[in-house]
Amino acid sequence: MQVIKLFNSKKNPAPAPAPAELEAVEFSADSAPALPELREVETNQDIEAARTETLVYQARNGDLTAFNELVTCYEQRVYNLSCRLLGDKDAAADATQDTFWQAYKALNQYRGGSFKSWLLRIASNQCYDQMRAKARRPAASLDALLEEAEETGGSILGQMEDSGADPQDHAMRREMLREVSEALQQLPYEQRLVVVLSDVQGLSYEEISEVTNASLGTVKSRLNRGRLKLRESLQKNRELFDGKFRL
Amino acid sequence: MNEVRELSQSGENSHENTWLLQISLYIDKRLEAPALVRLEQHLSGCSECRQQLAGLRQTVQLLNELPQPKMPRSFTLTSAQARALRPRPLYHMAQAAAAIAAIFLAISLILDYSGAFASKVAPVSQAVVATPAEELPLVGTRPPTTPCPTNGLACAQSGLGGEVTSPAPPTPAPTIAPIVTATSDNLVSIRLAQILLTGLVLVLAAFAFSLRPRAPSRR
Repeated sequence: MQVIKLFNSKKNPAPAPAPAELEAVEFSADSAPALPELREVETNQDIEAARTETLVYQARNGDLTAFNELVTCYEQRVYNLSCRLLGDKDAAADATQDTFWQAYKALNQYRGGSFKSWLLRIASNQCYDQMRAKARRPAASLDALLEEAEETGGSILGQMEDSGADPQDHAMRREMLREVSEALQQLPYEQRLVVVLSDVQGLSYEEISEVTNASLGTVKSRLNRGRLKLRESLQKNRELFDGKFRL
Repeated sequence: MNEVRELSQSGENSHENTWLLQISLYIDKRLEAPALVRLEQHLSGCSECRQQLAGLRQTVQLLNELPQPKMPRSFTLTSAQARALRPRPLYHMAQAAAAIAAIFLAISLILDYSGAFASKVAPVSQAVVATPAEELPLVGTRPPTTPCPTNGLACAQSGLGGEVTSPAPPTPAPTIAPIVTATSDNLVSIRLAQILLTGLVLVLAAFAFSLRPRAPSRR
């Protein structure tokens, strides 16, 4: 019997089979215990995609529990994207909430494909709206965002502390991450979106192209220009980046 | 001197344009074999690009290491929120009814302005001009006191100028009058229908607007 963990893969799920095929996929997974590891991963992705499609199908027919299961699967990812795009946790929370409300209203317009890309496209649009509204109210500080993030215990900073890393290194690293967060906010929105999707969310070029509705060439170009601007922005604080942290 | 500086800058830009995008793709392992070999050969001889590569790599690494922010709350929907977000069937019905009424109104206005409703009126107005004045009742002029010396039309024309001195004698009911009355009645009823349709569109649109799905209050 295979152990199947859903919704934990960073890779793009394979094209989703129809909900009716779910049972067949599960049956083949159960009936072939000696599959190679690669095959097992592919099967898990298929099942993950099929499971998502099933939940979408059920949610579309009014099943709120199914929709909330989808929310639970993707809310951290959407909130993370919103935080990095907006640099303000209150606006990010609002954008995340609006994303799921909009997704619930627009479920009938979902035409298959990657549900994650569809959802992230809604999120990026909501963030853009929030960004325009954000100018009218004060933003929560990025420091607060970073400090709160450290409390989650899953961050690289937490890991460094646990592994007994040099406190000076830790402080410097922490400062650098704060600088990166701030420098991200200085990027034009289109470049920031592509950089966050690629280097924070781990999406492939193809997925980013799907989310942003831009060509692959545009995605590559925006990503390159965004990274270069980030690097230049970080270089301005050169005194922070001595020794091994110099960019 | 300026030319030299411009040439130097354009040379740097050309160098950046040529290699920086490739370096970004190289970091993401998205460079195909021939371009990959060319870039690696270039990197072995260009310290500037090697620095760019190292800097960009570290930037990407820092972005990868950005901590995941803690969610302030769960974003699952309550049943009340779900009800508020999904439109009621009555909303769709009101929308459809308003749209149908609006289409009828648009059609009637188009026909009205294109002259389809006025086609019966035009000959009548010509007939009024061509009809001898003795067959037409004078409206809005003083009652005749003396008979008209020439004909009714001349009297009517002079009456338009405000000097009716010798209007035509009273005549029997003209044959054209019922047509004028009928077309006037038609126009009145068309106008009335248009006003009613406009009102209906507004009422239905307002009703649909009041039933629209609204964003529930945030938790």
